[in-house]
Amino acid sequence: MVLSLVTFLPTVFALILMLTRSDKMVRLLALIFGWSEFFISAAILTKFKTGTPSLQLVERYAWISDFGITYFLGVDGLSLWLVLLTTFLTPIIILGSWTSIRERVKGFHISLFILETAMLGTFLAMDSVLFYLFWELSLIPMYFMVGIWGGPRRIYATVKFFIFTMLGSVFMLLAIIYMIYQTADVAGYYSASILDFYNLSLPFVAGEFLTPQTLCFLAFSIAFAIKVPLFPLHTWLPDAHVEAPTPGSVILAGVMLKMGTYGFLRFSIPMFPEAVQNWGWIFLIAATVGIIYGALVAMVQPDMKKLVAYSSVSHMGYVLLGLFALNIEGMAGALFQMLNHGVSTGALFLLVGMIYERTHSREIKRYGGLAANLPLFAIFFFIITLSSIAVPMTNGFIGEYLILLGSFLSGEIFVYFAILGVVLGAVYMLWMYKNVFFGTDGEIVKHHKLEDMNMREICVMIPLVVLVFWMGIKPNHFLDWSKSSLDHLVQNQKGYQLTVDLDTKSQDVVQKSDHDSIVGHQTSYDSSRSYEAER
Amino acid sequence: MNTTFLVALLLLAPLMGFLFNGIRFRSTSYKLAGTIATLASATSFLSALLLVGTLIRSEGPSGSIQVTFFEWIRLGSVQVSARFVIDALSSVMVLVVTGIGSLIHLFSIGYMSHDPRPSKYFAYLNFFLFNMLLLILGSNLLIMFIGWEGVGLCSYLLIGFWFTDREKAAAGMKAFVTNRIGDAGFLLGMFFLLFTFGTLEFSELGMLAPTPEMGWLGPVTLATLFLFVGATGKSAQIPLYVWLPDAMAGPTPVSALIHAATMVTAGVYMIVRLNPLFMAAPNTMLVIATIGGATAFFAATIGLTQWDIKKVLAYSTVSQLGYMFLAAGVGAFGAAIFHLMTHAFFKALLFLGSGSVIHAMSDEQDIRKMGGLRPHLPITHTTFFLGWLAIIGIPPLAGFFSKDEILWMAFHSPRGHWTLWMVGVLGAALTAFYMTRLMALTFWGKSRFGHDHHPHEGPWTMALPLIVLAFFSVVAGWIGIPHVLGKMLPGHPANLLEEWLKPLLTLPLLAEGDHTVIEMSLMSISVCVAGLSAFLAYYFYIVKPDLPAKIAASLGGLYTLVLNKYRVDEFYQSKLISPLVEASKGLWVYVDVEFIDRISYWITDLFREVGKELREIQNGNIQNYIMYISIGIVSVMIVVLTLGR
Repeated sequence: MVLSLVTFLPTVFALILMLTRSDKMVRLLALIFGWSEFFISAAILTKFKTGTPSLQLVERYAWISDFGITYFLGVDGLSLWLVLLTTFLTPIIILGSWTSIRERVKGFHISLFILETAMLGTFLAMDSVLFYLFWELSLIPMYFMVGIWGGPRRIYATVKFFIFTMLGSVFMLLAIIYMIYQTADVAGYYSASILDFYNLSLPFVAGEFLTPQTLCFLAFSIAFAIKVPLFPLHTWLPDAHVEAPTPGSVILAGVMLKMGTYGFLRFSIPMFPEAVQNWGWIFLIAATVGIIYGALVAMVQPDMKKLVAYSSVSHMGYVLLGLFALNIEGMAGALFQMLNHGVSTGALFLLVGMIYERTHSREIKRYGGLAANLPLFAIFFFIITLSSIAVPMTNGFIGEYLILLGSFLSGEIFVYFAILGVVLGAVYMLWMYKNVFFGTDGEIVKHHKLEDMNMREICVMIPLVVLVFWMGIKPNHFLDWSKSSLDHLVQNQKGYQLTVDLDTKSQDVVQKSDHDSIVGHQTSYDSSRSYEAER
Repeated sequence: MNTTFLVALLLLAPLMGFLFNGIRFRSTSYKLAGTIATLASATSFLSALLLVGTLIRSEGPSGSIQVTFFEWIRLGSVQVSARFVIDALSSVMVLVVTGIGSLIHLFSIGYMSHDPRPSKYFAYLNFFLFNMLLLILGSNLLIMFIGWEGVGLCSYLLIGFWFTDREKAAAGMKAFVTNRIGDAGFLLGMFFLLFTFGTLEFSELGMLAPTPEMGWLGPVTLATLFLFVGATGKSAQIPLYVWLPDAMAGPTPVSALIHAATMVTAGVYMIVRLNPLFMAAPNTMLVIATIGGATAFFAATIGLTQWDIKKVLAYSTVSQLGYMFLAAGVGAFGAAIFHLMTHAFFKALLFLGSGSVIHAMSDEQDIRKMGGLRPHLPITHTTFFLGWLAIIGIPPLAGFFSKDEILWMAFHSPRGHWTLWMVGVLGAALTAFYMTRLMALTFWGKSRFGHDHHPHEGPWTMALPLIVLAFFSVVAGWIGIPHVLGKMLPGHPANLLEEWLKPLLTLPLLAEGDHTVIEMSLMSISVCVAGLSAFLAYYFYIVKPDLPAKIAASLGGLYTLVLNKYRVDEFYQSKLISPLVEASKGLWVYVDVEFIDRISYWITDLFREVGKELREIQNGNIQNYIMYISIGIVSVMIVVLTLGR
């Protein structure tokens, strides 16, 4: 029950928030709820077994039996940290937006909690239709967040964001439907379970494009690539970030982009082994180009938020480079980089938001001299900058190092280009830091009486800074939890299978639900047979 | 005492100092901040002394003290622990770094007494020391790399310490980015080694080194070449040296510690650390020797023309680092470390001396506005004088022994060549010239500063480090007396440093036989050349002070070219940086906005247009609808009839 609880508790919170009146009450309750959700989700860690790649804490109930669709949740090393990242960032966002969201406070927090459910569901769902449902659900609160609380061009940005991601989702939905039909041939009954999808070995012919496996691979991957976003499908991101309110940017960069890379990890790579081997180069090239392209374009951005947005394109390129290296170093690095990016880019957006709240400008050239005026802010910003440019002893280094090493060990040439990102990353971040914080007081600094970070803002940043160093100095504390799952994936990339760990507390539930769902499958299969007979 | 405890103390004392001063960064008490930081550094020095003592007592130079604290990364092929080693090589480095570091911390108390943010300064200085110790003591390349990037970070922070000055901030960024280019090379080198040998531990890499690898594309050659790219960044060699002269924007003690004595020598240290591997890559060695020799000469020529006291010393540092690489490149790893050590003493001394001058002249750095400072600054003058003798290689001061060993090995080693020796001697002549010029323009002759200046010596905290460093600039060379001289001297002193380092070095096989005559004559040549050159400079700048300007005028364009540092910075700016920025703007505007977005608009427009067209069908006209229905029925019937058959 723990996973269902974790997933739907935020929705319950959202419902409770509907009943509250004052904005102050809403914020306070939301903060308490956010943290309690985090601690409840941390309970997963206490029940999680690290030595096995199996799916754990599984819950499965029959749902739409005619098509083998079940309510199926489970967690393994691939999703564990993403779940915790989500529940960790949510309360930080709530505290971070304490003063920046002034209108429709209640609606904002309700959207946030529903979004949290959607994101958690995406990471925990082990049924493809359920996954799709959560995946799409996450668009709606985000749509409102940008569209209602966003900047001047928010409608343009939110429609662009929506259309881009919807476009990808359509392909994914087609592939899911196709694969559900295919399961009947293999297993004898319809199943939308991701575990059954792994057992399908869809036909593949090397060099031919129009084979089911390649098409499904591409259909899933395009949906995920748009979300990541992978060059050249990234142009919705800078607009969405610039127009989104600070908390929207944080959640977008911090968690939603990881839904894309998680999709690669959960679907594209294990389900379509031959297609990955044969067509992976497309993604490697796009990732490498994205690393350099994102960094170059970030370098010439006049707007801080846009700069950080393009830096995301570059950093997420690293993630894909690591994933498609298909070795343990690259994949673990990619998983680590997902968390890094969530922490440090989330923190960067929070920091940019803090200064925006004071001056209502993000234009870099109007700043200067902030380090003398806001020393504490400058220190926090600098630490996060270090994390972003992957200086050793911060989290960024571990991710980048493992990814580049993985890419090198895979024997491909991409690492020699990707390594340019190491240099360019330092260029654009330090360029921004120099122009915003160093030099004499800029125009905007002269005209505002600026106050350094207050206690609330320090409390927002401290957990993130602690994580930056914790992950950088003791990466094993994080990697060890995911290692079995990643090892399993790397070693069995052809013929990947995922078993359900029955030796957990929810055992009886599993057996019962398994029984239900199997009965469900049979009926569905029978009904489809009878339909054919009639015809 | 327990060695684990000592190593922990050695590393953590500066880290604690950093945290202490870092947390109270707003404090303006320079005395408290300085005392804490200096004590932290001195604690490190004392633990280093105790550890080296333990090493000598227990196993001697062939042994090592290893301490493992915790496992850092454990994943696949990367199995790296936070492990630290004190052996013959790292013990020399650690003593130099913590020893000179402590002196410079002490000096800084006086130097930074008027600064509004002393706590921050001392915090950075301590943090630098911590990272430098990681770099030196790390038992594998990855731990070294933490320190490697960490010292770069501290360098960035300290160069841009007076960040309200836009130019100083820019200098810091330039240093960081240039170093990052090198670091990218370092990373690739590390990947090659990990891929080839499956380990990053120095001890294992040393034993796994294969027989010399011919050609350019072998894994060891590539790995060492990439590592050398890293070294050119950190140690300011051609083509990545450009950041070091700009780095003089930082406070002068920082220039002494980071940009002269310690951090910039990291590249040399790394190569010596991995000497068995570099010996297995002859082509890399050739590249290193060539780049080192070229840098030694090239930077010295620029040093001839600079007017900023610190810029002269900066180019001098680049040039001297070139000598160290020259030594490493010809396989004289011991000589490289020897020169690293003596250079650390005399260059730290010269920089601190220049700091004392700058402090006395109220932040004036232009040597054209100095002169005749000798009576005003007796301690500074005397110590600077000794440093000057040491760097130009006058026996029996420190610089003579180390530089001479490098020149001899450049000539004698099978990896060397007489041209390398020639370049080295020419560089030595130039060194003697620009250093004498600096000495003459700063301290001797008539004073050229206004009456508003009242130069005076700093407090004892500034004088003491100068005196200690001057002492070592005189005697430090005596631990490396070449055999050819040692056998003539009373008591036959041996080359102690060479003996000490020998167990860790893979040295080239030298030709057998008695080379006393050649070695002695080459030695005399280089000393005479340096002496002559120094005398010439004295003549130019003291006896005939109007002569240099005339010569400069007669050289015309060549002089301006050198004065403008061969316009290398301008070249990088116009040929690399500007085009890259322009191209990036182009990518943003033409690819993102004009191309990708255009396509997405085009697709949405397509749907909209199609929808508009389809809307026309539903115009509410019943007759039209009936027609569509009839057409539909007929088509369905045709399909059914043709397929159903």
